[in-house]
Amino acid sequence: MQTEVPMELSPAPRRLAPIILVPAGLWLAVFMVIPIAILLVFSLGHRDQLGRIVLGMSFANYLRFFCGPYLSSLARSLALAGGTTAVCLVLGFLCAMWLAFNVPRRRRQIYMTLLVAPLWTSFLLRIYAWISILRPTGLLSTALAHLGVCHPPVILYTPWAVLLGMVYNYLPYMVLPLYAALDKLDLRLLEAAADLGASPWQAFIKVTLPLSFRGIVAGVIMVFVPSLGDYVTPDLMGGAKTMFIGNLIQNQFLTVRDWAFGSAVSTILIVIVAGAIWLYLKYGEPTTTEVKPA
Amino acid sequence: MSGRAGDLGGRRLSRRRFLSGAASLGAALTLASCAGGPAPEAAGQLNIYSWPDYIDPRIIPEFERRYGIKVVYDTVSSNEGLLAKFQAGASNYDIVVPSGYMVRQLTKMGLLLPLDRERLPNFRHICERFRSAPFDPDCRYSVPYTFGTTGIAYSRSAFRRLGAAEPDDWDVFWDKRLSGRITLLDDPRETLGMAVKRRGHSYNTVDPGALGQALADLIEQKPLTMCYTSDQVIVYLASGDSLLSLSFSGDAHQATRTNADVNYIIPSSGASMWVDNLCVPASAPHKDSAYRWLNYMLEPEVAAANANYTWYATPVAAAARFLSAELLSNKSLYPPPAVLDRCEEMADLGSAIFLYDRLWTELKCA
Repeated sequence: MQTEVPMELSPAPRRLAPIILVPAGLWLAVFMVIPIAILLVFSLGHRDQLGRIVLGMSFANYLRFFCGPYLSSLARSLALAGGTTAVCLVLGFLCAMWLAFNVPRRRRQIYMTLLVAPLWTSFLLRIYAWISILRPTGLLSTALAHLGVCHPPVILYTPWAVLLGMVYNYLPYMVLPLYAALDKLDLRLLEAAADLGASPWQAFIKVTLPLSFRGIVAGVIMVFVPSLGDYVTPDLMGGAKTMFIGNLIQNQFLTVRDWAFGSAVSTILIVIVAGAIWLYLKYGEPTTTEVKPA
Repeated sequence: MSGRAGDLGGRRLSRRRFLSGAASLGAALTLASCAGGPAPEAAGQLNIYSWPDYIDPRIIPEFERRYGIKVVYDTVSSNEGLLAKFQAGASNYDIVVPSGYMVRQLTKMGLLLPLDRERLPNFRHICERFRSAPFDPDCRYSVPYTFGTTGIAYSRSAFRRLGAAEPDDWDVFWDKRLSGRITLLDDPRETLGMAVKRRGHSYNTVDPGALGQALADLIEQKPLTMCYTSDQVIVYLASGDSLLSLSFSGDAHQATRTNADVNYIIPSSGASMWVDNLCVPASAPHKDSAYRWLNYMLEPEVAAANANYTWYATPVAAAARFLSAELLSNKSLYPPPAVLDRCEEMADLGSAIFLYDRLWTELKCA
């Protein structure tokens, strides 16, 4: 069904390639490589009495992170990011399947636009909108009270509110890659599976899921990575009652003014995120070896 | 999230609620456009680097007219921003307005000019209470400018409904009947400090035992807390979502303007108190103008005009008779001396700040 087309550049563009890469290379160096190098150097130093950074060569900050109460903030962040990703994956898959299989092609544009429309307004505004709905004297409580519910549960500032805010924020980033993967899926394969006696569930597990695997990996990464470092949503929806790793880093830079420890925690976070991206590169990117002739 | 940019040393942005969108945008543009401060100019100028809306605009023209000095007013949005500007080499400012802990920090770094009291005859108007702050014991480098407290704001009607006496001490934060409707400040020094003070220790204690007890108390209290926030206190008090808040006096007062049910008290075991200060950088190019300005701001009429405009309390004792009656009768803004004596300024903790940070993390992770 598919054959490999060799992607060879003709000699002229190949000579130009280094020049074309200069802006991107500069961008990477200035905004990525140099800051990360600074972070690494700072993380080995310590804070003086006045909150200034003193460079050094010590791993004390890393030890402090792994031996203190700080480790549990990492565990909480991983659990929250994992939970957010899982809920987004289930909801996102349902939504993407509906878009790709049930909605007529000409109307998909409208739904896609509606899906990303919330992203046009500020993320903070959307969170504050949720707060005004969920707070004790907010819209939801008032509405429930009018309906005769005496003691409506207050959702705001519980872990569930945090999860709600996170899922709400990151769901579009899950739906888009899943939709892109499912849109390309050949529906005749599902028909074939049904003809050969597979139940809809078996067809989903054995055909739909494997064929959309790259979309799943891309969506998982796009949700997991930003939600791991998110500290604004937990702070606003969770009432700052829990410390996630993003809050810990923010505190070190703005409150304690211990840039060295903050840099060490940031470095640890970067290593975790880099691990997640490595997984993406390993499983998510198209590779020629997996394309089998039909 | 600039509003959350609190600091362990003491002050944060939120009490400067006057900060309008336009003012903060102006401040941001100023920061971006002139990293080195205002441009050099002819003699007879004074460059002030202060918070937005922190001076009555009418008193500047009066100063300019009287002394023939042109005033340039630049705005800063955080103490750390002020520090960063100095560290970046700004040397054109004549007057800066740091909070107490930042005075200490700038002093330690040798960035402030020791003040010649001979040249400040109006210093005698400063209330005795404000002449011995822990961050600058003899006011050698600073002149107190405004002050306030951090105490208890609560809904009167909520306590009436409960049939409870109105609160008079910190214990009320442990009252289970208010569960889910309490806010504490998202600020380790204020919140841990409140718990420490409740047990009779100082806000500036570095005793691990006292702090450990405070942590245990706060963990016990945590299920009752709706949220830890520093910048939503006014909103929640005004809307009635919060029935009890650890709050800055200014914030509580502003909530009162929307919701007359809110009341503010300074607890009987004492509260924390903050002071903002006028200082002259060692590098100030117009030191004579700076002295004139300090002396001018200490004139009772001028201090009163400024306090009437900004609503921040003035430490100039002699200003009282020029203050508006509404302000003066407000016990939360101008506490009587006996109440003020129970309050404590926060001092720089040195390396004990790490202990506070650790305890704060443990509270949040509990």
